[in-house]
Amino acid sequence: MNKETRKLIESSIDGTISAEEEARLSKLLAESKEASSLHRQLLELERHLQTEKATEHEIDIADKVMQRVRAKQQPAFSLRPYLESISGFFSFLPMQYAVAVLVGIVAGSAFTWFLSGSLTTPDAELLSGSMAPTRQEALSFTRDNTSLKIVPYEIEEMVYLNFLVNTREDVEVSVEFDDYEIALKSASYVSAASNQFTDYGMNNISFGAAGRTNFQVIMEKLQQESVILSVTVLKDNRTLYTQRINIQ
Amino acid sequence: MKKTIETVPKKHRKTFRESGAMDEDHDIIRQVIKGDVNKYRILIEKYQGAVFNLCYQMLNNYADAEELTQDVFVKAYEHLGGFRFKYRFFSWIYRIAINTSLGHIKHNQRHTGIDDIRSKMSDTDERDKDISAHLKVAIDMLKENHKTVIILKYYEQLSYKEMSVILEIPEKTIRSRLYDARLSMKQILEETGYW
Repeated sequence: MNKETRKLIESSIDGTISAEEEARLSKLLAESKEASSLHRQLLELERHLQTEKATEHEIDIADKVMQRVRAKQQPAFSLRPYLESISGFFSFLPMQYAVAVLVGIVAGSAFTWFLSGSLTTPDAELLSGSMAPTRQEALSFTRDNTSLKIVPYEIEEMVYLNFLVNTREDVEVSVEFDDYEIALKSASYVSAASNQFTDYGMNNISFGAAGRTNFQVIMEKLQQESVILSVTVLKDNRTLYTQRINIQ
Repeated sequence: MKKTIETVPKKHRKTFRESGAMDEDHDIIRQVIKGDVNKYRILIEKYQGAVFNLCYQMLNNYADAEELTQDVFVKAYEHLGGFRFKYRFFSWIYRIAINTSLGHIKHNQRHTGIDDIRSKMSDTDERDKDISAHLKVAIDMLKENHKTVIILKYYEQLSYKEMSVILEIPEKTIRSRLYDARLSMKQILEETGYW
């Protein structure tokens, strides 16, 4: 089924179809048994779904939640008892000098740790914990006065794709994906000279670029296994370049 | 000089009513963040019903939904410091509820049988019960992102705009996903012999 028929059936089911679109749809349905059968079944399904109602339940979990929330609260931490216990040891010094010495020791230790860390630790490990980004190699190509660089970043299940396009023409960049495997969260221009448009299709997103363009796509992996995206650059509906990207 | 009096257009009056409720929730959140934990109970009592009903639709199990609802509010409390005040609390906690439910489904993969669903239905016409049960089984078998949009649209009665805010995806993607969800449901209903 072509894109137009799908879009018209979608609008018809949604109830957002215009009179002109309805006329076009009627013509298409008369010409295609398959489309006509699908439309009829989806209308029937929609009718049934519209009569569905959520079962309302009464519930009171406030006490249990507040119990758990209060258990998470820690008593306020105070340095005073600790300072008082060591103040005898430093009794020949006023309290404020003892605190200054303590702060100096802590700051010096932190600086030493950071310095040794930056000399010997790769970038990813400096940002410790589960938020460390994995930086993959940037992908780039150049053809017919158009260059495209894709910089992928992953943080846990989130995938950030930064597209840097530099072109003298109007081009379209399309990203295809399987939405069983990865979900589109957002897509937006960071900067663009002209030819700005964003098109959301079934399992794909495409954007326009001209001059220098920076476009970011954010996706969420729905599975542990690697995911494959297909990136295509088109000019005047002609494919300039197509590349499959493997997201681990 | 002629004086002109500007009246608030009708659509903006609705916005003022909504923003009033939003301000109340935001005031409570600010107080909780400052340390008045007891105020959090107000938000729980206000939204526990809606959150529970959503979890129940997602899981089809009362006990699991009750436990998950508690988890949702506890999680929300833990992350209250990061709450962005441009959003409604309701949209935000709804999102937490959806993600928590989907996580639970992933770890406890089981599908509810049709007899189990029918037995939970109140006394209604047998044919309506049958249709509804088959629909629920089909929804239960959908993949997660399809199941979510079907439940939010038909059982939670949310608009495309509300769904877009909660799921943080464009309206166009919501519509496309709903269409695909309906196609999948049709296929499931055919495969299970209902159609």
